[in-house]
Amino acid sequence: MQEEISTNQTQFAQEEPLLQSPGVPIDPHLQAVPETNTKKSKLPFIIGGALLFFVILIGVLVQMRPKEVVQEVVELTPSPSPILAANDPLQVRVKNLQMELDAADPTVQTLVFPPISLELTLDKIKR
Amino acid sequence: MKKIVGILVVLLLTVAFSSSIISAEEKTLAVDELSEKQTLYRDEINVYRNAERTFDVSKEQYLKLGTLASLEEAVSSTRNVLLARSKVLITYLELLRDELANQHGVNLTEKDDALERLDTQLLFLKEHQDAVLLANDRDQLLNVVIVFGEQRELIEDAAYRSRSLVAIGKVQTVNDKAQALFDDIKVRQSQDEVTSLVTAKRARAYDETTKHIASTEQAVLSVIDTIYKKGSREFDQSKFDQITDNLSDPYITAQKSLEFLQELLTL
Repeated sequence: MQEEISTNQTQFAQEEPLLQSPGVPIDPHLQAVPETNTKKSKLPFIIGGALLFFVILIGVLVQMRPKEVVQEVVELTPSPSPILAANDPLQVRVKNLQMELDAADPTVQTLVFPPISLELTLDKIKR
Repeated sequence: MKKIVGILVVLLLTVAFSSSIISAEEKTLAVDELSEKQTLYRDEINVYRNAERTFDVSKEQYLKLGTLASLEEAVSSTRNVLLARSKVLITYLELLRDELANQHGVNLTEKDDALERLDTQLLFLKEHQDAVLLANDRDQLLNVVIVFGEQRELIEDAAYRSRSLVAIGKVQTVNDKAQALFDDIKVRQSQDEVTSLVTAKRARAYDETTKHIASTEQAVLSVIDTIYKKGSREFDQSKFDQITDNLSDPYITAQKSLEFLQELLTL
């Protein structure tokens, strides 16, 4: 036995919504679950924010605390020395004089008496 | 009129330029001459060493063998070594003479006296050299040796006197130049605009530097006094050594003065 199949497309198109499966009914309990999850995920941020707020608050309080009077110690530092150019004529003269003094060192002997014998003789000198 | 002035200016510039060229040339010549003399001195010392070695050998041979041949050899080697020695001494005294003549910071009377002594000894040594050349036998050589022996102390005196004056002059010159430099530093610093603190610091530094320069001057004078006023007026190796020892005091104070001058420039 064969089922009678309608071939009328216009009728089919009009009746389509009625032929569609009714779909899954929306369960109100299931819809509430995501809302609860959102609230839970925000909790660490709230705690963190609160902690940050307290840290900042403590920092501000510490800064606002009356400071101890620190006696400033004035250190006497030498006044900056003038930078002398290497070719400063007076500087050059000092350097030259130091070299001249090195050459004048009395412990450094120049032109020592020649290493010769002053008593050369073939025969003994009768005195 | 303008032409005459122009010619005069050109002439003056030419004279100034040529004189500066001449002085530079003279300086170069003097340096070359000194260098040549130093080389000659070294060569002469080498020749003397060889001659002395030969003399020692031939004298020993003559004393050992006593032959005419060994005597001839000994006389010849004696003449050679005496000639070599006189050449060394002449060049040495000439080098000393040049050094003393060019040395500043020496009392002129003492300098002239020392130069005169050097000239006298140089003259003697040249005569001695001629006498050695003319000496043909052992007796003549013996006479030459006796005359040299009589003059020996005077040669040493001239040499050590000159060396002492040169050593004193070097330290004195440095101190004189330090004084001139110190004056120039003070002049330049007087033109600076500085705070009263720096002025006071400089004043204290000037005082200390003045003291050191004066102290060096005094120490040098003291060395000179020791040489000429105490004991023998003759110069020899031991006296020269004593002078160089005494010069260490002014040398150290002069060193300190220069350190102060260096520091003064940074104040």
